[in-house]
Amino acid sequence: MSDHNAYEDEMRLRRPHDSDDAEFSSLAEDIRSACLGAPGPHVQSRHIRAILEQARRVPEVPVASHAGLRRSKPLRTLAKLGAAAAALAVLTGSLAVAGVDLPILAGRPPSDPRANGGAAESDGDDEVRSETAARVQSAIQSSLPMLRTGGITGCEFRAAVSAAARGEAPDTSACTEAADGEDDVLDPKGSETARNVHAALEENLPRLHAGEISGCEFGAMVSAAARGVEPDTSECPMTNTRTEAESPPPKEAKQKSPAVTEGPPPGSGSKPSPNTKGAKSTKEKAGGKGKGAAGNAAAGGVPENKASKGNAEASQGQAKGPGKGAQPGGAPGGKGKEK
Amino acid sequence: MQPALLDEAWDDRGMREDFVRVLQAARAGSEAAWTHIYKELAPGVIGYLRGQGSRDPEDLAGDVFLEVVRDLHRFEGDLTQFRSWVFSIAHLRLLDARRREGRRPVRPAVPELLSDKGGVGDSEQEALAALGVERVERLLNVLSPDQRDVLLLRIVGDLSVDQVATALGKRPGAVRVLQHRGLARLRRQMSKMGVTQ
Repeated sequence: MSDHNAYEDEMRLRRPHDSDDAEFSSLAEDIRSACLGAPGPHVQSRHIRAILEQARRVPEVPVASHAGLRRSKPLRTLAKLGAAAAALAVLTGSLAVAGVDLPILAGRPPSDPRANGGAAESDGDDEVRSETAARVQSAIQSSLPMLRTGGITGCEFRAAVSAAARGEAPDTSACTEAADGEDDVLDPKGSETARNVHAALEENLPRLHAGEISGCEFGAMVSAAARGVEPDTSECPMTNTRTEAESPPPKEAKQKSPAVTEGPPPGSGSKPSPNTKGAKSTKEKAGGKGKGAAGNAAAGGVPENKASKGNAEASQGQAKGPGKGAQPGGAPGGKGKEK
Repeated sequence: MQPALLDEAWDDRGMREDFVRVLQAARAGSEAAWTHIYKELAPGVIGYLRGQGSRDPEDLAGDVFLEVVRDLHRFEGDLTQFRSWVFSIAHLRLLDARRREGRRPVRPAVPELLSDKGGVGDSEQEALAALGVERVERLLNVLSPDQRDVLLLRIVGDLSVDQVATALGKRPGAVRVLQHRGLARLRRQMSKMGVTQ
């Protein structure tokens, strides 16, 4: 469309050897000479007289300081952008002053119920509960493998979990004194949370040993008891399948438990992962020892979003080696080998 | 008002070097400053208006300078920007004049009346000049209005591309394109005229 260097200043035409340009240069001169021409002296004096008259009529006005701004398009655009940004800042500030909490989704994991528009636990009670639940969960995670391997007794396990629920250091001295009467070892002065956890443990631990519930369900129930909410085991991998295909959990147990029917699903962001089968097979190979148990407990009983992490851990069980798997009925398998 | 500014005489160099003082003096009503501004810019403005085919370029240029006087308090900038500003006013006044002429067409003067006035100079020179003007008019008539604006401001107004862009309210790139296409069209027309002549 355009010649090379077409936009170089063509009006200078500094190439004398180019005949076209020389011709054009003469044309430019012709245009200048045809058009340019100083006005005649009469016209000039008339114009200057009119100009001076007009200048006398015009009052001396201070120079507009924004003349440049009016002329310059980019400056006008910048000014508009600045005004818009300032308005936005004022709007945000006024919203903050009014106490409106704007959603800030960036930086939250996708499984965060707040990021997904789920129910947000924002009041103080929930925070306390979730702290207690986290403590209980970590206690379960650390104690359950030992319990399964026979490293600690059920009494010691309950004492550890109960102490975690109370926020105290575990005291297992009573367990050694009353090895047979495990039911009497827990501190009767414990808080309501501890009592709930104790009750959930008492109720569910035999079922776990008997293989009626999976580690995931057990974790969900204990964790729910610690949080004071109703357990929801629907998120436990393979729970539904097992419940339908094998044996449903006894109604009595469900009635006794604080609540099995309602409540927010622990780890509502998670989904049953097909990879948990791999974890199971690994568990069977590895004899049911190791981290998998913790992952299993987390998968079922983790407050909020850790279930997905638990699933991830379970799915990584193959690489890590030992794993209890996230399988309902995993305990019998594991225990069978242990025993 | 500063008397020193009013009394100061401005030459070309002085105006270029200290344009701010010239403007101050003009704002203060200095005859010397206004005379200098007029002499500096009037030939270009009148030439531009004449090249655009204005019927009375000198009269129109007078209107342009009156508007410059009226709006000088709004202007802020250097000599380059001042030239762009003056030519943008000239361009707008030209468009206004064309609109007015479109509404109220002016009858051309009767040739017999003009012949009564008689010649004022060397008839040979006048004939040559008329030939030159006619040739220029024929050449300029092949240009589109935008190309004509740009080329006349560049050649007659002696404005840079950026100044032309400012005066016409266009982007410099668009002015370059118009200039390039206008020149190409002029070249083609010149070669045609060369063949026919």
